[in-house]
Amino acid sequence: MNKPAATAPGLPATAALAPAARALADALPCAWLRLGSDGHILEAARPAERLVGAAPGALVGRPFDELLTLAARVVYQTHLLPLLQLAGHTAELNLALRLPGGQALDVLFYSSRRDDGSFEVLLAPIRQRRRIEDELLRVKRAADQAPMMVFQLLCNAGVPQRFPYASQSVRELYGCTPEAAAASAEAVLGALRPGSREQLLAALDEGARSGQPCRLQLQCAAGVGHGAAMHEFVATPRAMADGVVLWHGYAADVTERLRLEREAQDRSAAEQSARVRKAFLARASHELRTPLNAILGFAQLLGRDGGAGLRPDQQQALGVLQTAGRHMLSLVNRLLDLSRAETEGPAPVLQPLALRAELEAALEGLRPQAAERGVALHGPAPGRDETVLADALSLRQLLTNLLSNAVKYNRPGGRIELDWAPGSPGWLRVTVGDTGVGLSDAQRAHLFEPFNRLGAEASATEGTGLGLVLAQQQARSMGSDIAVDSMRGVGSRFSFELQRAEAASLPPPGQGAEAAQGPVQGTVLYVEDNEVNVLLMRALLALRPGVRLITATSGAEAEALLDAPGAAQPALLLLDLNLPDTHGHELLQRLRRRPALARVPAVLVTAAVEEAIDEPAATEALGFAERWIKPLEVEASLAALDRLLLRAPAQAAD
Amino acid sequence: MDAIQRSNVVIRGQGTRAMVFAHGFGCDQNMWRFVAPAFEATHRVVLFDHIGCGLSDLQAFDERRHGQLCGWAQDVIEVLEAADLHDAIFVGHSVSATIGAIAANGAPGRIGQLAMLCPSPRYLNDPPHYTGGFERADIDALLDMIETNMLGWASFLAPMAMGAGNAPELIDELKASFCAIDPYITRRFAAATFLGDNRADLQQLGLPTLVVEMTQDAIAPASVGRWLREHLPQARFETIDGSGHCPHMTHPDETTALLRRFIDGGTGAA
Repeated sequence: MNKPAATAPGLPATAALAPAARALADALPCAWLRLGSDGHILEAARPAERLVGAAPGALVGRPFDELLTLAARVVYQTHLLPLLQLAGHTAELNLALRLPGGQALDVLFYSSRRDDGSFEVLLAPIRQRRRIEDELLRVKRAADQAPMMVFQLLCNAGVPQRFPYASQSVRELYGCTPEAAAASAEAVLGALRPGSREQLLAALDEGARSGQPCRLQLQCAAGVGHGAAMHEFVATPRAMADGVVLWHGYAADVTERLRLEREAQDRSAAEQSARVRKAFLARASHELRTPLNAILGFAQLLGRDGGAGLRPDQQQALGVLQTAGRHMLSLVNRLLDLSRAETEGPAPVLQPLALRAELEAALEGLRPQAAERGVALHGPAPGRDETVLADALSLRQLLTNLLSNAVKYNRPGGRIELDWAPGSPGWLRVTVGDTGVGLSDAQRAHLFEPFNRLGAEASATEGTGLGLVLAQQQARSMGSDIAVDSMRGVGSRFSFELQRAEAASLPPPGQGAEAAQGPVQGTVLYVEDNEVNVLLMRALLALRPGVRLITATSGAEAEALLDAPGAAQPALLLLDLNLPDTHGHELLQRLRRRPALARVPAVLVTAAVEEAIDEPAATEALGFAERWIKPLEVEASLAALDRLLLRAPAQAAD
Repeated sequence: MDAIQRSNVVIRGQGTRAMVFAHGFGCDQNMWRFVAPAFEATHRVVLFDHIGCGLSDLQAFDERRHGQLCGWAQDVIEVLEAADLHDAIFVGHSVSATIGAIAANGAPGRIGQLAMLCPSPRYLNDPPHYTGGFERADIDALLDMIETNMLGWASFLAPMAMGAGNAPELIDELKASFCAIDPYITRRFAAATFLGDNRADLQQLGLPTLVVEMTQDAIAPASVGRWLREHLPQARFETIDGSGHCPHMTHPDETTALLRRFIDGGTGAA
């Protein structure tokens, strides 16, 4: 039997619970208490005492918050008590009691104010519900902390009504509270750009009919959330009764992701384009070398001994042929340089050069082209000269590029003036002036971009869009730069500077390499699949009557040749790199297994300067004594041939 | 939106000198209804709601700005400026006592006297010299409990409020209820309040200050009172005999009398 209620001293008797009611309170499966307006306990039924392990009557007079954990005290003091005093009742607030053992017990707190100003309190322990709440809290936290809005969207007859649930990210994404979104879907939809809003409504309508999920990108109006952000909206529909469709999904800010994707695409496109360009340049260079080998090789052979046997006009034509061929070779080499670094070519060799001679030679090379277009060429006025420090090849190419452009983009019957004048202190400024159409500011802005032909690609004028890029590199390699001065309809003036040098330091002119007609002899095996190259080598070796050339067009043919009864064993191997059935270095390995060829010198003859065996050290590592690059230098090749044949071991089998 | 609307500023009463009442964490300006009216005859009584509380503009909440109490103090300064208040008597309860101190330091001249009810500059213990009364685990449990109770909001009140057809009215009713607090903001206000350390702000105070304490206060224990006595030499200390943390609600008469005495005996120019 429960004891009668303990009451606080001094409390009006009427305020205390009547015995019958108190008996009921003591029998309840939850804890009943009565608090004074200042929070002291006036009465406590047995279940309350048992809940906190207090002796009968021991709770009376104590502040209620002493029964609570520290955290619960804060909620009680800051929120519950003020609410209770203002509103007169509270329901279902979650507090935690501090038990004697130190553990906490979660309770639901219900209370209401009585007429006498005291508060009746019911505490209901929540053990099971607590676990559910913990689980809910976990889910809610996951949803709220996720960097996206998780939502439930209710549509009626295909029209969005409200978001019964929207995680907290709705604040950041759409600038409204979950409550506002729950009241009306407009709180969210209103934050979208009109176009995106229509898109979403259409997608929801369509999805409701088809039952298919929807996924789309929406743009927020400026000034919402992060302003003009792109949101990804993904949801699946669930049809309910009466045409109601519930959508569950998420919306996430994907602005940053889209930007990164776009950047990656741009980057990959740029890399792809660079790769293609590099591959093209390398291939173009390689393909151009083979015909150049023939042009330059035969030109050199024709021109040996000062071109004896040729008429003077033929000699002159041969000179032009050689000059043009060499210029083309240097262009091919520069193309490669460009593809390698896109910026830097090899370091130039600055040497004293007679400027007038260089300018006139460059003009000479352009004369046929200029004549064809009726453009008049004017060189520097006679009677003066300067010595400059320049790289001969770079200077020639630079002048040729500028002059070639001046011819190409001139008007018919126009003129070109090439001259120099004093430039910066210690420098001379060389200027190429034309009477062409001139350049617009927009064109000037893109003047030095590789492959940009500034609109000329639509004209009949041929070009690569590389000339000025290379010219700029050449000028820079010599410490200057290209300056452009242009007027629409009047013409352009391209200029650059060259450093002055002392005339005295000019080297003595014309020191050709004298090739000794050595009494070399022996058999040379040349494995090469290109007929023209074989023809040139044959003509070249014809200059060494003691040498016998045998040729094969593939590795298999070479081996068959060597296996033939009575075959001569070569004293020198010349192997092309790319053969139809093998590579030069692989063929060499096989040939080396023949005792007679084990130590015979071998030369790699290649047009593929771009590949791994580019380095002399790599050539040696592959077993070659030397590497000859096409187009061949006739005199140098002959000298090397002499040297290698003399060094070759005694021709045992010959 | 200006600060007046944003913070739901309500101005009542006669008199030229303003008295600004700032509610603490967990409720709204309704807390002052047992004390503030007593000053309407003599003062301009200014009430407001902190962002996320009462009828304030929830959109004004800024994660960064309101991550620390100085952001909440900035709100107060903007209210003082918008209402064009000078030499005001600022009555701050609990965390708002600290917010008032930061505002007084930050906008000299706006606040002339500062009354702090149950203040604590730092709730966390900082051994060995400072005992705020709370360990980090207590605060974490508190944040959990706030969230659990807010879960009740989200899952019970909110659906009820948006029930079929009459959603707006119910929401209005919800809004008009007492101690309405936004769950999301409240959770962050709690973190800024209970994890912050504003001892330096209180030590900078250079204006007439009143500190009202309760003999038994679970939130601001006696050790905090000792620190205050040591570091606020210019302050007047008053103690109300009783337990609790809201003397303006549980002991309104004593609180009113203490405030009156402070104002009348204070040095602020009237």
